[in-house]
Formats: sequence, C-alpha cells, structure tokens
Amino acid sequence: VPAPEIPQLLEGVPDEARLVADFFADFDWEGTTLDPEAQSAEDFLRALGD
Amino acid sequence: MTDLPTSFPPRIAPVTFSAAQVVTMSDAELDALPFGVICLDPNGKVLRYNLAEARLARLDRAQVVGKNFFRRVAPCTATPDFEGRVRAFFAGNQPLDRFGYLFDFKFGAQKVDIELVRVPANDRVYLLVNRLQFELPRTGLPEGFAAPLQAELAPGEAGLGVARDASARRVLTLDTNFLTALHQTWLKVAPKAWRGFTREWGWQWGRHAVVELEADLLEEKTLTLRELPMREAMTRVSHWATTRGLGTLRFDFTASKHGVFAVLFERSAVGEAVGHADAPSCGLVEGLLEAVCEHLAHRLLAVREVRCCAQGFDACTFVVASDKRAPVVESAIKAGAETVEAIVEALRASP
Repeated sequence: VPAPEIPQLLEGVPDEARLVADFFADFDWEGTTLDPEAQSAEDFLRALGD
Repeated sequence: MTDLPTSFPPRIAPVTFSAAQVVTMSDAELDALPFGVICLDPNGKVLRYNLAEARLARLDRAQVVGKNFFRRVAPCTATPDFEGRVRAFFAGNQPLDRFGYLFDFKFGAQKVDIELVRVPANDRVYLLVNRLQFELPRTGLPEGFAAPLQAELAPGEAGLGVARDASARRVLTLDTNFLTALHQTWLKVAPKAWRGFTREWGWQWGRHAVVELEADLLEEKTLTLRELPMREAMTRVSHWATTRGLGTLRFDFTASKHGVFAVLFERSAVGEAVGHADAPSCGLVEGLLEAVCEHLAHRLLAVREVRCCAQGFDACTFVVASDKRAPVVESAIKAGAETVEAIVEALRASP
C-alpha cells in the first residue's frame, strides 16, 4: 500500500501544524541550506555538500 | 597512433596568498592573481607584467615588457614618491615596503596600494598593485604625465591587423570552424585525449576569464565577484559567455538543497562545433566553469556534463558539486544518468 502524501496527511490539521509540516517538507536534510539570492558566491559554493 | 594522457594531474586547492610568494611564481600563476603584479629591474625596465595589471592599466603586456616603466609605460610614477621610493628600496635591505599612490591614466585615475617585494639576488623588484578606488581622469596634469593609452604605446597597430576591445584587450574574431578544426585534429592525433585536453584548456581559460570578470567588477563597484550574491555572480559569468557568442548559460539552483546545482548551456558553440558524439563532449565548458567556481569558493569543485547538445539534446546540462563527489557523479553519468535528478539520486544513494 503506498504511503499517503503529505497533503493527504494534513487534511483537517490546524494551520500551526501545517507551518511545521511545510518547514520540514522544504528542510535541507543533507546539510546547510543554500540560498543563491542571499548568500555570497563564496559562501554558497563553499557550502556545497561533500 | 600514440594517444596522449586522457587526464591531467589533480590541481592543488587554492590557498591563501602572501606577497613574498610572487617571486617564485610562474607566469601562469601570476596571471591567475586578481591584482596587478609588475616586475622591474634596477633601471626600471619591465621584466614581468601580469594579466590583471594589463587589463586594469588597459595596456598589452606584449607592448609593455622590455620598456622602461617610469619613462614609457607609466610616466605618472616618475616622481620622488614612487620612482624615488622604488630606487630607495633597491638601495636598502628591507624585505617589503608599502605605500599608497594615485595612478593617472587618460581614461581615469586609480587610487592604489603598492607593495614592494625584494628578490633575494636584489636584481629585480616586484610591485604588487592593489586598486582601491577608480576616479575620473584628473585635469590640469602636465603634458606627458598621465600613462599613455595602448594606441599611443603601439601606434598604427590597427593597420597591422591588431583588433582590441574597449579595455584594449587584443581580440580575435573567429568563426566556429576554428573549434571544428581543432576537434577534428584531436580526433586524428589523440582521440581519447579530447575530453582531458579540453577540460584542462577550459580550466586555464577560466582562470584568465575570472581575472577579466574581477577587473570589470572592480572598475564598476570596487567589489570582488565572490562578495556578490551567488545568482548575481553567475549572471555576470553568463553575460561574459553570451557577449562572446559562446551561447547562453542558465543557472538552476533547484537541486541546491541536495548540495549540487545545474548549469544549462543553450546553443553552445563548443558543443555544436563538435557535431555528433555519443558522450558529453563539452570538456572546455566543464573546465571553464570549474575554474570560475573554484576561484569564487577557494576550494576544489567538480563540474561535469550530464548531457550534451552533441548527443542530440536541446541544451548541454552540467552539474556542479564538491570535488569529493565527482567520482559518484562520473559513475552515474557512465551508467547512463542524463538528468540532474538522476545525479541527485545517485548522490543520495552513495554512502
């Protein structure tokens, strides 16, 4: 049986809990979050994961 | 037929720089520095003149080397505050000296910081020139005080087939037959070496390109590329490629949370010149992007082409990753990965 998708799991869930879920959906699980708009070229490229 | 090596020795990661190192640097190493370096003999004759200095002074080193720096190249330095200081340095024995000065060019004045470095044999001195500020040309200077323009240093060169851009860099106008002919030559003499050769060629080219990019930005904003936001820095790289007719580079950061990002190269002049190929063939672009990214990051990075227009795809696609992840990326490409998503999956699956 396929696992339910996050939107299905969130049906009826309060907004505060959705915010937490959204955060973890976009969370960088593998290391530092990279932001090409905000980070300098040096910081961005140095943060590429090993 | 004897084939050449298909790869070159690994590069050394960029390291921090100390002024005294310049005396032992090769010409290629001096050309990779983002600030000016001038080497003079005790009489002021120019012995060495690096790429950044040539670009920022808008002079061609081929016309500068061998000439007297104080009299012919930069008469604005024939003063007690500059020439006098250099001569006193030669006569003394301190290893380093440092002072501020204002260079007067006809296209503008430049506030600079000069560092003098002694060579043990004391037969030459190195001047490290760090540009601090760019200003409009000063008025009211004595005749012949400002440094000559390239056109004055080498009068009549346009009639000899010498073309230059707005920064007095000598430029060539070539059609892509040049690249096609080069590719065909390599297929004839060393077919397996094409990728390795072009990667190294692109890397060397990229080291020069970043000096040009840094000089352009320094004149414009007194900033370095690595200080710009990542996307803005890459936009400048893209502009550099587009204005040279190489094609259009687009940077896609959607995979960056997996520690990689993608570069799409549309209408690559390099890929199109290769014609049809069974494997990615834009080693020149890989090397070029790698040199630019490594310069910005002060670390080794890997740029690998995932798919190429020479294979029939609409655009060439490259992945930029940490150098340590290069083996996984390369294995995935060899195993048939043709998308950034497939590369990310391979990286996630690797231990």
